[in-house]
Amino acid sequence: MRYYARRILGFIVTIFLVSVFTFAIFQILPGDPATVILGVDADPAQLEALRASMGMDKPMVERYLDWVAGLFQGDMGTSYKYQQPVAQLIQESFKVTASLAFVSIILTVLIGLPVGIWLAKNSRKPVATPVSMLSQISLSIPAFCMSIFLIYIFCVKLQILPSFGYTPLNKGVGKWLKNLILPSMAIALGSSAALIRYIYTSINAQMKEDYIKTAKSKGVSMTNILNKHVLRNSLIPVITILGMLVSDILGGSIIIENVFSFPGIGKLLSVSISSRDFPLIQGLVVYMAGIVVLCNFLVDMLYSVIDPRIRLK
Amino acid sequence: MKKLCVILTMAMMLTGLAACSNAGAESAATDTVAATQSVEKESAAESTATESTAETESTEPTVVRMNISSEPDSLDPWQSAASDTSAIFDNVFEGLMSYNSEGEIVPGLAESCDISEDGLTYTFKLRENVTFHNGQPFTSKDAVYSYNHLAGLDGEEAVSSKFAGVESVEAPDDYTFVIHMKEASASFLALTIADVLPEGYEDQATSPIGTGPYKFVEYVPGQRVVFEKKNDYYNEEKMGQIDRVEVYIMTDASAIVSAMMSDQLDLANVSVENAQILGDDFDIYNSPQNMVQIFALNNTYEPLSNVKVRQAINYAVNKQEIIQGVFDGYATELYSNFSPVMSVYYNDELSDVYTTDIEKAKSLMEEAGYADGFDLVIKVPGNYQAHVDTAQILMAQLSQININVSIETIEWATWLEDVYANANYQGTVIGFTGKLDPNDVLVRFKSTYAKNFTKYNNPEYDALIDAAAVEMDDEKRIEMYKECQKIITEDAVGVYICDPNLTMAAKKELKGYTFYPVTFHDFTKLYYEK
Repeated sequence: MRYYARRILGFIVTIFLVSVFTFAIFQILPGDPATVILGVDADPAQLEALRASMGMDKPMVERYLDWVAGLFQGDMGTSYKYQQPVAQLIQESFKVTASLAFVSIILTVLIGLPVGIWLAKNSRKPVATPVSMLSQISLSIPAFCMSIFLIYIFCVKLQILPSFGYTPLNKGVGKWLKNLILPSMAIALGSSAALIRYIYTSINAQMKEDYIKTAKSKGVSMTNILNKHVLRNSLIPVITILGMLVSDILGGSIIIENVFSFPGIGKLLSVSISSRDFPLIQGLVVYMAGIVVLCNFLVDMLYSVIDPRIRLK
Repeated sequence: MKKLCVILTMAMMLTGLAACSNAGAESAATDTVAATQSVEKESAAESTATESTAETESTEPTVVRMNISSEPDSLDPWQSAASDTSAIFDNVFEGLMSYNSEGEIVPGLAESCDISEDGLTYTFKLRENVTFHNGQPFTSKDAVYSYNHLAGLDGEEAVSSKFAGVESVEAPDDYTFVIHMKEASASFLALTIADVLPEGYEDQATSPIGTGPYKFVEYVPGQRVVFEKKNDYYNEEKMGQIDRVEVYIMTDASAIVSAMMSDQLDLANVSVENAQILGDDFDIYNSPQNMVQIFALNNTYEPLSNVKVRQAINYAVNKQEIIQGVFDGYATELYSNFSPVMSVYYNDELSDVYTTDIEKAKSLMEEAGYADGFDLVIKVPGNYQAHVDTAQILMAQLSQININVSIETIEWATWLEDVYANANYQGTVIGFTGKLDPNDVLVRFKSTYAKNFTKYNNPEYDALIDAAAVEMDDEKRIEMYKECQKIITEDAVGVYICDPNLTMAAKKELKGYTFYPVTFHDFTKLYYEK
């Protein structure tokens, strides 16, 4: 119980600090949201009207305090740019980004786990070298490069997949998946390569442990040693990586979302910053801090499931 | 192995949670509708099939998919100022007067307009049989409502300070509308292209309606805006031929190219560079767009406050190099803050005021006491690659007269505040989109203009542009605006570089894209060749 209380307290402190920092940065950063929205041809009367409707006639500190007060009542405020509740905007974008995270993680695990284990088992055979090299290469190709490459093959040349846009799940799983497969691949090819390296190293490290020698001397077969002992112990770093990956994608992959014109969290974030949409930025900061804390928490829980010797303290 | 599966399942719990809330929220989704994915085109067909089969011969509705690079600033035309927004929404809304592709003011919702001798009374004869998209008929009541609102006569804030000259409006009968002015204004008729909206309709900001040839269907933030043809549009000649237009909001230039190449867009606004990539398989339309790309100088900053220094800069800059280097030749060289697209008002005698002449530039620098040059910081908005590239060429060119340029790339929001609003800069490169009224283009240099970011201050110029605004004699007025162009060229407020072409790529079978002197994608002109 004390553990949870501490986690929640830590969460609140994190969010408070991050929001104060964001607030401070926006004090220094030049830029007026009304002018950004209306552009160079805005009429002074239009600018005034828009500022008033945003509540920008109040001093900045007062607006910040209003926002904090609203947050405690579960109200994240209204976006300057979209004139819609921040919570609703984040919720809409979250659906897109969560779909992206879901498919990416599945692809990452489906590719990374078997290849990583296979590579560890066969590391001495010559066939391992090209696989290892391939994973090195896909690890070092930036995701946007991979995106363009994938778009060129699957959209321009083969014309079998769409290169931009998002279809919600309720329009059919097929259509939903069709839009998701390329961006997810672009993320998964890189991250699964990382996963392969981690699993490979982790299994190799475990193989040098004393208990392996014991098992071997008992006469346990190599396959059984791997499946029953080594794998489980090697999964700790894997969970860490996946946890980081999830919070990374859910925090918005700005570049991937831009390349595929995905209306997700990353797109929302870049728009909110370039339009100086203060309530939306603060809302996103809270959301992201929440995601990171939640992911870390779930990862910690998983640790104790995999290795009962690890206790949540 | 079983345990491994359990662990894997746990690992996916993180995302599983996400997916659950995702699926749960879908059913409650209100405004996010599918981004119609048209690798197979049937999705778009479904939604329009019910409406448009009656009048078109073919059973399948025609769709045009195009792009814009920024989100609409507001769906309510009175709240909107961005030219990207009006570029598509001018298909939905109409004003009393309208404009054609030559930039001439022509009748719109009004069949005719009579201006009294003294220029104080405008009498509009309104069209009959016009309906708004919700079926409500258009009458003089809506015109009264609109102009009361635009000029702030209804007790609320005026929509735009430009309408401050309106004294009162009245509607003698259902199809006559009269505007009384406080004082004569030569540019007022151009203002009556302002959109007329239906009286008593409150939802313009979410589901806008107008009288135009296309109706608004939906706006999905971050994704797209969709329009549909109005089948009972009153003017047969301006009736649209395409049943449905889908405009996708796409910020990434290479995403636009791949979308074109993979048959997901039919029409796109692209850069010159990308147009060349698409050139073989698409029709490329290219036209000056009435823009002014200017290397603006802060006329109050120490060395630049000297007119000789500014003239020296004008002599040192080779505009053709910029046009070739940045725009691959697809731009029109300018000599004042005015594009030849506005042919009536364009002063064509300024082309030899400054011809590139480094010796002349050097001697002017010497006369001004800056033979050894000075340091100059050019601030450019980083989101406009063309302006950044132009600044780089300027850096090389100005080094010839010992001006040591450094480039500072800044964010758009920072540019708007620092440079445009507060004139906290030395030099900058920017493009201003075209206007129909020469006053709107030239007023930027009037000393009392709120956004006179060059800080140019010339009482003679101020007096002339004020006089032109109330001059009712067209010929005299044209002369005055030509004189204005001459003054700002001779005083070298900045370097007026070029009018970069607007480049559109269209599928070969899609015809009819028409350019206007303002940014406007006219959907009604588009058609598919059979």
